[in-house]
Amino acid sequence: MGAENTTPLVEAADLKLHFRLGGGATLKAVDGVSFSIPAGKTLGLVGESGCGKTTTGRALVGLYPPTGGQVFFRGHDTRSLDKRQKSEFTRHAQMIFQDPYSSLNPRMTVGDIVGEGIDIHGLFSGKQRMERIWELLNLVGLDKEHANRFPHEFSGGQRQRIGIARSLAVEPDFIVCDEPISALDVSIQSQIVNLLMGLQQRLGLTYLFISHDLSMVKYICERVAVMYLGVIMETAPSDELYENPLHPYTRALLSAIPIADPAKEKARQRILLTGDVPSPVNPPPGCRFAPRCPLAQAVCRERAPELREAAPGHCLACHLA
Amino acid sequence: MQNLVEIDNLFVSFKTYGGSVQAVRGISLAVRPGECLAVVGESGCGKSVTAQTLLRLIPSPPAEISGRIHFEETDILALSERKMKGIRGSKIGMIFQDPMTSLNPTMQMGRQITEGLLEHNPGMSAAEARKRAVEVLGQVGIPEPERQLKRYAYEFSGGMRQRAVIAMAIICRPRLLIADEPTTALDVTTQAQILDLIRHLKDETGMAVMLITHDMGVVSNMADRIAVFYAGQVVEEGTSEAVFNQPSHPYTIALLRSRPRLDRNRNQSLVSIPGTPPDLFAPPAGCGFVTRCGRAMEICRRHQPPQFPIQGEHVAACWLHHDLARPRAGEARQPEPEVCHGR
Repeated sequence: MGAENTTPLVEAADLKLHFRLGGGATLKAVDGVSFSIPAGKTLGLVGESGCGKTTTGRALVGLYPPTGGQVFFRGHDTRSLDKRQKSEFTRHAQMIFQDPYSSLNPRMTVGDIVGEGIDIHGLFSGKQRMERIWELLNLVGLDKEHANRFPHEFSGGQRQRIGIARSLAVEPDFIVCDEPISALDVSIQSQIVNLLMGLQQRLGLTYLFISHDLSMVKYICERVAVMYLGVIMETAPSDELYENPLHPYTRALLSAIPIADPAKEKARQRILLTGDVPSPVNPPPGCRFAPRCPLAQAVCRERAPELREAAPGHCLACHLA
Repeated sequence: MQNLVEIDNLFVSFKTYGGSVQAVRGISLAVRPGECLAVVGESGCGKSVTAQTLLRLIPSPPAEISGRIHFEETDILALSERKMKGIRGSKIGMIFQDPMTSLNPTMQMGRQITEGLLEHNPGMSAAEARKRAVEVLGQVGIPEPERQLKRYAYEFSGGMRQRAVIAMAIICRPRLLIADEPTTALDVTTQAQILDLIRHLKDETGMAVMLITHDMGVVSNMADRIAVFYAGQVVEEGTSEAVFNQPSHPYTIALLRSRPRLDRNRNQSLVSIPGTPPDLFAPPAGCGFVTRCGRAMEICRRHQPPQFPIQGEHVAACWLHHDLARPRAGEARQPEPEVCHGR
């Protein structure tokens, strides 16, 4: 599949999204994030709520214009596209949303929901359009009769399948999966994950997989980036990150995840973090994690660490590790 | 050992315009003093309804409830509402899933926390109640408890709110704490803090905990015993070690394999459970899991399986453990998972 040495399909370079709140306050949701995703691969973006992972994902598909830095799609800066290129970009970069209940218009039939992108981009019309919709429903494991029904007639898992069919309708290369399974029941989650992975193999898709579920991310993604308060703390190949986490935050995060095995749980050493994630409105100077970090030194509170390569392919932003 | 709670053949159904939903279909359970019983299952399996019926929070009528619930020898279902009020919040405390909605936004924390205490102890003075509130807030790890009494819920973070809710639940020193998905709305690092706190309080006060969750990971760290719920019934029950080391109901086996494990590498396989849970408007005649089970037999479609003993008190409600099916059950105790990639 995608060769490592070619240009990455999607790239974020020092991406910033600052929101003015009024009264001189600025919410720095994303504050200088850089990564790239090679074609056909999956990057996992993990972190706790409010760390900026969804905002990053939305910026990558053009739902938010970046307030600083750039997003490159197939090597082109997405801010300097002409109208035709812009339409190409929005067609090829799609998104699957977290909540399958609020992300489908309750007044549209499933067929029209899936077909909306086809109409906007003028891909098919008439009989061909309907056949394409049936084909897409089939692809995600639904029946063609479902096209005439409304979203409320479906369960959470089926709704998420509709959301996936909608994103696939315009033949994208890149899909941002924003917590696609967190609203689903455990026994349904694995169905959707296996569907997404099967589709990736079959269609050669590239994913940004956003999640707070670190064990699922490990299973799905080749590479994982850990975010905290708008910045990337550590990024490494999946197995490497989980076996050899270097950043104190990554270590704490991994040790907080319960393992479904009582014997292993008893033997584990936990790193319990104290306190809560600080507000991104006035983030602490220096390292964002310093106020909760068990190892923090004076330098951590003064100067923000740069993301640097600690081992081949393994980058982290920490003064100490 | 005398049981703290005994639930015997409990049925709960709700009348709706679409017909009658049979949320709980014959559940029998026991909670022993000082133990942590985990009730595991996905949404709609009847776990929350069982807990709420135990607290008599489900008005009947309109709900139809049958069976027996005993708490410390008292028949809960036969109690008058006035007597029930004396148990609810004092002998049984409850923590709800969402700390955002289970606190009153217009009430100061101090008044909110002492409300139950003053209700159950009519002779207690406000100053005494305040003292106890400070003590409990300290116990649940809220810094500077004195100062927090005057604050409102919106000034607290999610983790702090859940701590305050726990403080409210334990202020009367209950014998049983029901925790209904106490960490589902929280981040992992906060989840670890709250679970640690509940375990610590359980050991310190000797109260029993009924932990309701869908997360097998949370269970492994907390539970002494586990009851797995599916479609309004208990499909497997046993000690934590027994259920994890020798899961014996196909649903439990599939549940454990449908989540990737952090302590295994990326090449692990992920089992997909096909289909969805049955519609409880028209529950199946036989086993509730039959349409999703790879090993279903003819009898599973027709008759509900009784609970078969596996070993000691470990039981599973599955026909595969019947004597006539046992040889097959034995060989397939660890059946090879069917891994389907995208159907």
